[in-house]
Amino acid sequence: MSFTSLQYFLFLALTAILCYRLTPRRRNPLLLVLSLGFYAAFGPQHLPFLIASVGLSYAAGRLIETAPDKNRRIRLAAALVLNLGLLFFFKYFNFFAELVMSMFAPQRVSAGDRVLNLILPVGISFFVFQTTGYLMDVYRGKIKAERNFIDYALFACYFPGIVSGPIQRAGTMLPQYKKPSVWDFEHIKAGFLQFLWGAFKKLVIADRIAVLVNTAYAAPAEHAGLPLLFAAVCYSVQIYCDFSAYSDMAIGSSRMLGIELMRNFDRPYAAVSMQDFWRRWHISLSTWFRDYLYFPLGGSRCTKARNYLNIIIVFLVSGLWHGAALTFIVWGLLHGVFQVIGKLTQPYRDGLRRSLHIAEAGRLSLLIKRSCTFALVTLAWVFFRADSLSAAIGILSGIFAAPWTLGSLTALGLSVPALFVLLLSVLTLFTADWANDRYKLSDKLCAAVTPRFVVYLVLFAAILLFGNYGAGFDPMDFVYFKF
Amino acid sequence: MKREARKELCAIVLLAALLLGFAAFGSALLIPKRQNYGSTWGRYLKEPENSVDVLFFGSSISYCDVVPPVIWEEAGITSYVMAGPEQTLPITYYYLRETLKTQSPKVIFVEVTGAFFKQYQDFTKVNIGYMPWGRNRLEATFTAAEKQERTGLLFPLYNYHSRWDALTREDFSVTLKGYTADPLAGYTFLNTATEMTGLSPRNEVFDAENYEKNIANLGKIAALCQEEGIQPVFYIAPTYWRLSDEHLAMLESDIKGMTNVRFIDFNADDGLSDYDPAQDFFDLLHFNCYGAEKFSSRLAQLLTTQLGLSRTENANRAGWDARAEDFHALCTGQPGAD
Repeated sequence: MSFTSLQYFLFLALTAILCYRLTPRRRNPLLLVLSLGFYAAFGPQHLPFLIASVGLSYAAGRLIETAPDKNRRIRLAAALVLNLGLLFFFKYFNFFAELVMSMFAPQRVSAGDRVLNLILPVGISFFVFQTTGYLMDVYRGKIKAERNFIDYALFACYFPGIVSGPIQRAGTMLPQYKKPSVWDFEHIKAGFLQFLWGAFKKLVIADRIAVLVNTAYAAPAEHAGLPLLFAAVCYSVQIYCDFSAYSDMAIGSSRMLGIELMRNFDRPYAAVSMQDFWRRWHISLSTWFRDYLYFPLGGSRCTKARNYLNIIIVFLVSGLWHGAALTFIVWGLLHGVFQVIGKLTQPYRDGLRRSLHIAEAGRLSLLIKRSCTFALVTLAWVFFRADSLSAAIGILSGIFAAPWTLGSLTALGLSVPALFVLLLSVLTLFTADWANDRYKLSDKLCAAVTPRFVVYLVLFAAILLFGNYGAGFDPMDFVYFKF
Repeated sequence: MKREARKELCAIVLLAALLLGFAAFGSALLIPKRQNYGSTWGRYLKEPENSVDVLFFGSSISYCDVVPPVIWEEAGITSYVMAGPEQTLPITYYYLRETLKTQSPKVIFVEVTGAFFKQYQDFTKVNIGYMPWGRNRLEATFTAAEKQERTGLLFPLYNYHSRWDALTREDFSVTLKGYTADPLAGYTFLNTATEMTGLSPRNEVFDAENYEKNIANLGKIAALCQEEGIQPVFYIAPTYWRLSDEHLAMLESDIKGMTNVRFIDFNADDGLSDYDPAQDFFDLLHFNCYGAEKFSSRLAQLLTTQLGLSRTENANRAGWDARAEDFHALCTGQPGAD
């Protein structure tokens, strides 16, 4: 059930009506059943894996909490092995098995063959990380193990975030499930606005830009030079719009139900460094890695060399988390390497800036930093988007090797008016992001009836007219669904 | 608080109304404008009320073969073709009901090879999507359209919103000013000639259940005609693409079992002998304008001699004469060859 389908609107409306009428004791079982139903709509065969992860982490949380001190670590380790083992087995077993086979018995590996015919449960990376975070928090004593199974299961299965996050923390979610849903029209207004904004980003920008990106990536040789560079930049916009759209719709849906989810994006392309980028991109994942991997590895409270190694390890794992493919590993590695290089070159860059009399927080400095960060992020996205390492290298060499003539951008599958609308939509997006950050635009809109309804009208009209839906369109899933 | 709530409610109602208006205007603007090849409801509705004595229904065989201006010229009888591409008989039933809202024909013709069509052919979107809004369209949507077509039929922007970058001057003009009357009264002009070398079996796949449903719809059409005092004629057009003898006999027998219905197989008794196989056909199924003119003359003769129709009394004679001239003007060139 896609967030952009009519079924989902009806499902959400019905859920909201029911939620506000019930006490938590009755509401939570109902929300759980509806969440499981929502998840089962992606294929009932995925349900047992979700239930296994939920059951396992619930029991493990209780066992860790009640264990004597000397046994807590062992119980946590066992729980993590089992929980993360589920993720590893279904998501990575074939990848590593094929990698090993290609090294030791390449003649036995043929393209497209899988070692084991495994299904990949939808959202497994998200719910396993969420439950793993819970176990770590219980082990660290940050939260108490949840006794109410329904509430815990709801934390793990809550439908807005089950498929693609944001990855929630038990410490912020479980207390919300204990409170009754108090009808507050402010929640509905704010949630609906965020949901609609997400739908605009997905249907008007991400899916339209996807046409262009898919065309270029399918035949890079035909679009070499500037069109390929344009497509690479477009992919940076596409993935931001696609993923942040999902997050907006998830957060907006949940807000309408009176439950706040974690913010997942904060103008990532306004980042002034790679480190800053990761404070703004997929915040729920980057903070998860920070709290549950980077800090346990020693974080920055160690030698510089060890710190750099920690960064590389975290981003390698982050790359692997996104997908079982070498392209994702290289993407993660690139982000790690960029951060390390950034740290290594920081004194020299500062020195150069001072010698050129460029103010640190001045506009020029910000422009240069933002442009460089965006360029590096875009370079890494090429690996993220490409089907294979060789394809990614082909795209990069296509960008740099060919004569840099613009050629015809319309050869990328969009007409001139469509490109114009796309440009206008992207400008609207970045302006709105900036205005929201600077002037708290969404809060102001929620407080004023007329401007908010004008925004509703414009967004609805844009979606109806320019949205990627209906006959003749490929109903593309959200990019992050496959992770 | 109450004032706030009232303000919000008013804004919601206003937003809904504006969106509805936007969707309605957007749909009207973005739907491709249909001037020929059947389902031309916009043009049909420009005919003066109760001015047409004969209506023709069916698939492309009807709108490519029947030239109402020729019937007028030959017999002084007004007629109109309201067929649709690959139109299934359940949809034809709703076409008949809808046409009867503005016209009161004395005779209707239904081309019935559609009895052997699949439950859904390829043009449901066109056949139903251009019908005027109302009960007939809604019933057709829910009973004669594929499930996956329903969203687009109920909400045309779903099907056509992506045309925004292909809008033409005609789209704006027709949306704002409306369609103009069809000078060919529903006929679609074809002038290419393909030489026919022999009969070809249609090799229709027979689906008994679906055939029964189609016959039931013919029954509904016959019943409606009886209610309205209309003479229904179910016919097989002259074509080189033939139903099997077995199926044809079955169809004939089923139709002859219906009361008040006339069945005519224009292929019977060497029905193709009146036509020039080198010059009169567009393809195995359709006439070009030369064949259509001959066939329409024959229909005119049939209407006056066998169906007892006389000249239409309240016809706009000048208008129909102009239509006949228009048709002949179109036909003056020599037919091309494929």
